[in-house]
Amino acid sequence: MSRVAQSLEVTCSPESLMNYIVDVTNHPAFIGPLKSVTNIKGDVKKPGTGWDWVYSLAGIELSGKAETVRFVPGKEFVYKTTTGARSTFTYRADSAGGKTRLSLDVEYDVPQNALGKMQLSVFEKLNDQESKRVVENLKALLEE
Amino acid sequence: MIAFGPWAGAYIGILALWSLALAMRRRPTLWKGRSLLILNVGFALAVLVTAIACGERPDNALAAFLVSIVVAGIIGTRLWLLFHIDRAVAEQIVEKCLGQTLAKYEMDGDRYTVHTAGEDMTIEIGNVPPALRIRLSGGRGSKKAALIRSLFGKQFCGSVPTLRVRT
Repeated sequence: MSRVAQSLEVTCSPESLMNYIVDVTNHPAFIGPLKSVTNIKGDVKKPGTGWDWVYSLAGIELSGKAETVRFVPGKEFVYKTTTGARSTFTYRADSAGGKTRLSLDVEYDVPQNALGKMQLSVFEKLNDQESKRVVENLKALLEE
Repeated sequence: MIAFGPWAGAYIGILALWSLALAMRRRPTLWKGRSLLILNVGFALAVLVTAIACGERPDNALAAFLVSIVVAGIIGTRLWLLFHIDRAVAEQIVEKCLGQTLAKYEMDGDRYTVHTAGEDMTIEIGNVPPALRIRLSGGRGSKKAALIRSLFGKQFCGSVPTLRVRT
């Protein structure tokens, strides 16, 4: 498993931050390659609730499924992809002197076949940059 | 000399096929002017590579044609057209995107004014039968404006076929 982690401070309450993130239909707004989230089967706040996603990468659309692992109101939202390359996304919100520290932690299996000749370090750097964009996009959406 | 006629015919054929593919779609489709620029630049490069390979040069009519399609592509870069969708649904999608990006906006007639940390962004929907023209302008200096544009674009099929792989 590889792992990327990012965090930054956002000027909003932990509750409003986590309420925004737990609505997974909002995720295409701040995850660049994520094209859509559909077919949500129940309440996303409950563990085991699943949904379908479509990622768009280099002109190819990859579709798959994900499900909630854990939701703690105003604190944490964890979900995992359940098809293709496995990954677990953890969003955390911690109070930080009137602001909120948003943390994103992603653990993922490296798809060795898809890597081809690409070096692992390059692949991880790309993921690191993408996760940085995700938290920066969230900050822009919640503060602007 | 490389003659104008066959190349112009090939170009018109490509546009005809693309138009046919767009017309046969049933789902709402977003056509971005940038895709025409890519086609036109690619076409001009194909002619130039052919000319170099053959040791000939395009005749004057073909040279003028290549310049005109590249210029037309540049002019139309920011043009976005929506096909197979009616205006009410397009407005619902705009408002859904504004909601998902937590945007503060006002609607005045056909125009949405979105307030951002930078310059205000405006969104206008116009009729260009058989399509709708959507114009998202302004918003310089605003990351939220860029995210609204990106999210809006994700709501539609692209104008060229896309390979979908189930993981």
